[in-house]
Amino acid sequence: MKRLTTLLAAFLFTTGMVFAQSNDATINQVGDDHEAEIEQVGLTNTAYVDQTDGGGASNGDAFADISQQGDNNNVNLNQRAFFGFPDESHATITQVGNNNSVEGTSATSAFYQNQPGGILEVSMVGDYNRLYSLRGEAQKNKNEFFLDILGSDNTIGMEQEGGSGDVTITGDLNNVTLSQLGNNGPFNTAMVDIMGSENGVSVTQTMDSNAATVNVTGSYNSATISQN
Amino acid sequence: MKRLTTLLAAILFTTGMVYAQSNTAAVDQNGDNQTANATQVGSTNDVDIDQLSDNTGPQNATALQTGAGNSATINQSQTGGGNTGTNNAYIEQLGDDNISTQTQVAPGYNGGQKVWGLQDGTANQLTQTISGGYTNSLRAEQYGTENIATQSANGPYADGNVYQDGTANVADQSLTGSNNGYGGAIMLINQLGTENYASQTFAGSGLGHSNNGEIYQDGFDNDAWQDGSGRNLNSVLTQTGDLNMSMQTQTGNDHSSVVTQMGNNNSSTVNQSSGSGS
Repeated sequence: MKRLTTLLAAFLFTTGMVFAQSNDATINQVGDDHEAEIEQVGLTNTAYVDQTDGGGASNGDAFADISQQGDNNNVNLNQRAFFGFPDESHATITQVGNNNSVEGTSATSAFYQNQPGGILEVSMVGDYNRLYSLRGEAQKNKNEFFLDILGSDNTIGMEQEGGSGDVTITGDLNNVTLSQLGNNGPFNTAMVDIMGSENGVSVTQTMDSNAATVNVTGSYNSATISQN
Repeated sequence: MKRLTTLLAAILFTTGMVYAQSNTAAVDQNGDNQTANATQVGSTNDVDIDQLSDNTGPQNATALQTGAGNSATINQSQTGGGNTGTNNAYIEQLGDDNISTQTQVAPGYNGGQKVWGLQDGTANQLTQTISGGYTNSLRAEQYGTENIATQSANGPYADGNVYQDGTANVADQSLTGSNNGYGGAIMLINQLGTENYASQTFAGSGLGHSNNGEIYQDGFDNDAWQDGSGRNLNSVLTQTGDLNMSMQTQTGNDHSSVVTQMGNNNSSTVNQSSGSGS
């Protein structure tokens, strides 16, 4: 009987691994001091983290750590209303594989981080990945954005309202559009480093006292900076 | 007290407005076939574009600035072997007190380097320099008053062109190297307006070196200087208007000087001597 139980357990475990290819994980947290962690290995996984303060004055931190390994995975994030300093809002997203994305499905459910002092770190290893917020700005109110890409044919569209962006890419045929708005004050900064060929970089900054730096090593690369 | 506070607030606000812009854009590209574009609208902005190629493809850089007190710099360098030059740099500045600097460096066998600068406003400065390469082209356009354009190149088969329309503008060209003018390339300054100053210096060598410099000034109280040395020299100077002055000096090899002045109280001097030649 014990042997049969072990066999059944082994079978179920194996079955679980097989069907783990298509996972859907959602974490909703309302209140203060959140921590969310999602780790998915497989194909066609979906991860969604929604952290809000519940409508009251917030005194707490929000941490989200999402990791996906495989192809055709999607991450969506909504962190808002944690009015930092000294509170901290920090999201780390790691995707290893191809055809992965960080974005929502509509403007109202879009990838979004909104609080002063928020930090968003995204790391992508693979090809044909995409990061984009359908609501326009993905970060609002003076935040920091760090993106590392090791791969090719990736598309990045990032809009910040006040903040800094730091993008590092090793690969070819990547397209990066970084838009920084100065609605609530000046001093946006953008830093883009690329090692590869046929990459396109566009940095747009509005309002005053902005700084943009693009460093590229490779061939057939294009960099455009617009400040006004 | 309230009035003082209001005044102070107004001053602070005004001061803030003055220093409010100050955007900086920097692009560093290392490789071949690179393109860099920078656009800035406002005051006291700064653009710095540096491109380095190992002679495997052309570089293109464009900087557009609208406002006052802006600075734009484009540096393009080529190293190594090959023969695929054709770097292009373009800076356009609309406003006052702007500074434009374009520099290209290339090995002697890299052709087709081009710089083009345009400024429209008052007290702007434009400097263009090409070192090395051949069939280089420099073009400067300035519209307004008290503008200064400076061009220099030392590679063969180069041509420089300065066009200024306004008052109290200064144009200065220096072209050295060999065989300049061989393919009809010339050194040209064209000024429309009053109290302008034009100066050309050219020197060179080579069997096909024709060294051709031309200055056209149309206006009042303009000064023009042409100083050439070496090989088949040809200096052309035309001034239309009153109180204009010109001076031409030619040293070494075959000389040709043509001065035309139409108007009143104009003066002209031509000095030609054998010199050391080349």
